[in-house]
Amino acid sequence: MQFIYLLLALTLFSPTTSEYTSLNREVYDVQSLDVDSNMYYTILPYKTELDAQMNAVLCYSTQEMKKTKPESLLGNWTSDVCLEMAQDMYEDDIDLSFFNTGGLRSPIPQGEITIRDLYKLMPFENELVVLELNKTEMLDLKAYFNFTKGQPIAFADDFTLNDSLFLVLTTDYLANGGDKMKFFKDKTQHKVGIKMRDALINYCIKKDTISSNLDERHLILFDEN
Amino acid sequence: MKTRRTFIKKIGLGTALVGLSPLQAFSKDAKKPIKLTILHTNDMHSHIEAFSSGRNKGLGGMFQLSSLVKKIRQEEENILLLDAGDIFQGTPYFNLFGGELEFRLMSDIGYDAVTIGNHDFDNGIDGLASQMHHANFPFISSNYDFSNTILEDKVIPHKVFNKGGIKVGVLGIGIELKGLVDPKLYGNTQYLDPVTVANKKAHYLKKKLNCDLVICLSHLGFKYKNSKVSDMKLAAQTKNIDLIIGGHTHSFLNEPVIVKNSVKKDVLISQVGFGAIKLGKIDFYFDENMSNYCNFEHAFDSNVLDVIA
Repeated sequence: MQFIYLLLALTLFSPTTSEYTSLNREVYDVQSLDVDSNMYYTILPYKTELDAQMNAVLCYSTQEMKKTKPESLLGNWTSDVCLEMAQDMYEDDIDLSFFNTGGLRSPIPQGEITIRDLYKLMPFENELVVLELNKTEMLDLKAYFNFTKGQPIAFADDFTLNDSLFLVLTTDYLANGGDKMKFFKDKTQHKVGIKMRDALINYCIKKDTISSNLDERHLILFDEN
Repeated sequence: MKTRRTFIKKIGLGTALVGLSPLQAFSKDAKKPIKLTILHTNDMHSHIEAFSSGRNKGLGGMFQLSSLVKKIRQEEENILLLDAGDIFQGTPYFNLFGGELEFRLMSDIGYDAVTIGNHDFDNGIDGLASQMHHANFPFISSNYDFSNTILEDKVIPHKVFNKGGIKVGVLGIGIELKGLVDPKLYGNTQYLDPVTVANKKAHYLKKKLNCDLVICLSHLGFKYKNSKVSDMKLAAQTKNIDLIIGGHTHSFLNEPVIVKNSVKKDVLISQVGFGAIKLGKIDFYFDENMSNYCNFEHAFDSNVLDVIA
């Protein structure tokens, strides 16, 4: 009992807060061979439903599409499909689509294409938006394209650099300053009304097979050396 | 429930008996330090399962995190498990189930508190609010003002934990939403200046509520090249914060970064990447006899009543 009295007394006379006297920090890799079976059974119904949806086959790809520079099968396919799908939904004529290589997160495999493949390619909820660029800003885009040695891009059939106003299809992520695309900064974003991933999914639902090709489109914006 | 006033009276009685106790014998006992273990994650981004490809293949995810935390719980007594936001978005689990599974698993793992990241707004404040009943842990945000929104009564501005006699105050600081999150998603949420709010809140926790340790859960990001407010800036421009658990920039800090605060005291900044690939663990040691009376009020409650009665 005296201990308790003393403890109370000590605490009364000590400072009201204490400070730690030493510390130690570790970082663990999260990897475990132990299976938490309760948690496994919590996850299982979700995983089953998710796998059923994600594994749905949408179409067939005739080739593996990867990203390379200055142009790539994956970049060309993505940009072409987004431009085509967005143009179907958007009332004005879009001049070009422009994205970032970094945003394409995974290749398209050869063979059956599932929804999961498209989630892997585009895990983000980025929405397609159209921005109006004047000639100066278009030249800034061209300079960026050159500096970064090419980015996913697609041009409308009648595209020419001689225009004074350009309607550019991109994502809200890039329009908000993602990947330092300063020519997009503070632009009014006209929403197309579809997420980039959904545009790709809808296209694949529409088609039996998909394919891509290299057509040296980057030369339209590349400076001559 | 005993009131503070009667408690102090009881202490008064106790002090009279101090002289009767063998002080030395007691202080030997008291020297045993109290160990407080902070476990932390950030930016888990709906990673339920381990990464299935890439350089992090086989690592991460809440399923594996659960086993690891369970193991640590067997070894440590006083654990606070915290997350610095962006629980949502990153795998189809979020796209399909809206965060339900993330909150259920984090509840099972035993999270004590989390703060809100920008991606936690990805289904709007309604989407976040509608999932919160799956979480048994509090959401702490000190600088988002959710007045007149659906989150008004669902998010708290701070929380005090009592762990093994150590009083820990936790505040939460979120990133500016404008330009980062679609305004229709965050609605009437007001963003308040992080430095001002954190300073005020930390002062309140340390000086008014007498917390031994003040932790700021932050989703500001570790540091930036421009003038944007970050954990580095927050640490340097505030006082009364001991530890910042950060997120947003997905920074893998192998060691905590130590910054001098506005009164030249050390602030620790820690952040552990994303996707539950890593778990951070920080142990703080406190001398038992320095801890404040509130803790003992708690711990010795029943004994005191016996003595007085």
